[in-house]
Amino acid sequence: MTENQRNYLADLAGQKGIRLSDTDNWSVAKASEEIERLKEMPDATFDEITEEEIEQIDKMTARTMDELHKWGFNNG
Amino acid sequence: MAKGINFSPVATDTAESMDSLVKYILNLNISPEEKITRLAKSFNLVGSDFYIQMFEANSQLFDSTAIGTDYSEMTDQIDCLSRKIVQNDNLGRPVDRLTKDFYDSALGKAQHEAFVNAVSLDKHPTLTRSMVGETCDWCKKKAGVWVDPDAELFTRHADCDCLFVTSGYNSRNGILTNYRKARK
Repeated sequence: MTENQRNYLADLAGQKGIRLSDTDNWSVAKASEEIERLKEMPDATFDEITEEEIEQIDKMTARTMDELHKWGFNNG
Repeated sequence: MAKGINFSPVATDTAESMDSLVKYILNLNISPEEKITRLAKSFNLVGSDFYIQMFEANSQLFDSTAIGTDYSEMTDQIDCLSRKIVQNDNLGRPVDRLTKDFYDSALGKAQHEAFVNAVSLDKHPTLTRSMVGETCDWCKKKAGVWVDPDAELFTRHADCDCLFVTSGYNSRNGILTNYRKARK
């Protein structure tokens, strides 16, 4: 498939809440067929992100930064 | 000249640590745009920290700490990375390589900036870029020992395993773990 097709298919799959698989070697025809199939599907309903999820993301981000700060690159 | 240092393991560690976060966000039942926003926010925070740490480490190595960094947020690159991660995930393609490529690229930019500063202070650090096993013509052209290397010499292609060692004046015996802070 072409780069444009790949990007379009990826965004469309996301909109439909679908995670595709084994797409690496898809032909232009196969990608077009999948695009048509996905277009027929209703859009997915997504949740709003929760406070707990945001907190977890912040915690994981902070943990990565803490790991980075364990290096003493800036104290001669 | 002091022994050289390969800072790539720091990029690898940071990328691996970010991978857990990326997977967590990708598995949430939130919209693709929300995933992109959340990824970008975390990549921005960690990315700026990583860049500054790598810049400072190399400035210390090159004895050029007198000049600070011109770091400006890699917003465009991070937005593009975050979108690509979500797209790859939707296509069932691996995403960990994208994270590693991002940190390799940030490391190269930080090292190049430190080099430019060092040269302006009449210092003479070197970059030794060497190949690991079989490699491509593109990497062969970039291999060697470089004084005042241009930004292009720090770039990698996807899955590039070239070794980058920077040398200068203060490398803590060339042992990366000597930069670890002592436990309190």
